[in-house]
Amino acid sequence: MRKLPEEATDRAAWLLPLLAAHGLATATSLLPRGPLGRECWVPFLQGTRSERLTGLLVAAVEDGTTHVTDDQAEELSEVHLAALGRDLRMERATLEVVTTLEAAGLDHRVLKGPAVAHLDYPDPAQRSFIDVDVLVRSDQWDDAVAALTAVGGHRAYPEPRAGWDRRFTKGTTFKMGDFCEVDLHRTVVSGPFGLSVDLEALWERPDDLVLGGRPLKVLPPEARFLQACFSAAVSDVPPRLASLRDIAQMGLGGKVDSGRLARLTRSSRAEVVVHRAVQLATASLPVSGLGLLGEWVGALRPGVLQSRVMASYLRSSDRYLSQCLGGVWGIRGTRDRLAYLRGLALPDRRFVTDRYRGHMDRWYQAACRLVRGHLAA
Amino acid sequence: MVGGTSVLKAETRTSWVREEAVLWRGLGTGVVILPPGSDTPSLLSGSAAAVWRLLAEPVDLPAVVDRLALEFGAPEHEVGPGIARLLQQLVKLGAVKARRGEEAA
Repeated sequence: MRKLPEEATDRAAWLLPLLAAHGLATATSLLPRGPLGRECWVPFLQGTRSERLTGLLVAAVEDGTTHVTDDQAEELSEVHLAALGRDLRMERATLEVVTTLEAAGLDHRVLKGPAVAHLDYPDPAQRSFIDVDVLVRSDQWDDAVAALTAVGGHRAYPEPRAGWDRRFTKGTTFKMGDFCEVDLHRTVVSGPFGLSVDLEALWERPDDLVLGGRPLKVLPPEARFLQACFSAAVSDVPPRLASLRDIAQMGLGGKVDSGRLARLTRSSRAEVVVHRAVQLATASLPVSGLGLLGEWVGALRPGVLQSRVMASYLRSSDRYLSQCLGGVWGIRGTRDRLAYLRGLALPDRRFVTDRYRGHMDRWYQAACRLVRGHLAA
Repeated sequence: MVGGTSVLKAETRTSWVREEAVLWRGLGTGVVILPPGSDTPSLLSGSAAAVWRLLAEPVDLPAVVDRLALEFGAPEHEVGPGIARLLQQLVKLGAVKARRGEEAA
């Protein structure tokens, strides 16, 4: 185990992965007994908040793993109370979105935050979240957009080309009211992997979640785990510690069936994603492994093409452009690939004029970015 | 104003239970609730949180008073009126509902 750094801010950053592993069966290091000195506590609490780990810190204090002063307890309580208040408001917004979709007769699944917090953690207060994510079926996409628009939702971005979203988009963000954003999903991650995900499999064997007395449908454990892997491996670079904790939490939780996960991962061509997510989680958090699931993932040998697609997510520049091009890999069928390329090359003028002087200007800038990217590489 | 043993007797046929639609989280010994129709979460602490936890199932007032008196080591006649007021406040907030004439747990 590495030595505790001398500098207070470094020490605070060093402690955060220990906190992120708190309570896991295979955790190998505990938080210090404490209390921390003020110079370390302040950046530690700040990091705890930005990494969305306040619930775990409260749990660590409550079970006596670490001690805080009365002042620190008050500060922590204030920060955590704010996080919990936001979680509850997001759950309320989730219920409102579900009500809207149900009224329109649309199938849906609640994704991420509430599902993971309630079904995968021992106490939902340990897992905070900041937005609302709901999955709808591709063939009901336009109806879902219309339903949310009818109740006052505003799309953050226009559709690039008529019919594009229901075939190729990850989803779109709706601004609902003053403070709430709803991510309406067609698939669970952006870019090539989102296009490659086995969408039909996501709708099979849903789990049930009761929220505010309402029964909701959420993804099954294997699909929740796969989505968590996308979040940890490609959505946020570098990933939040809360995302890595999700991987460890679900990996050790006993709900994920490795056979079903293997089938979903294979049919989604996402072995490289699961491999990277588990590798990141076990390398970043002080855990001795993820049990049988970890062993299965360790034996995965992702192919070259998948690894190249993964690299497009990790580029420091031109990530969007390379992911757009990588989309050709993710799409199945020549006809859909051609439609995708046509939409990329010739989006509606309304979509282009928001950002460029016209199609020529957009192509020119894309070409420049590609050349710059190659030169930098 | 609610208070006294006679009120407790009168309340034996009314049970109290959480509104199912309330969203909530535990926070240490407290509870954060977001009742339907409210945009602002409320923090219940101390005996209020203890009452909330008891109301997972329908309970009548004497049973709540009995449990709270035991938990906080206070005489029933002292905690009773306060709990009755709290229940009324929680009903007003939309967090708890009264069920008249139903059998309590």
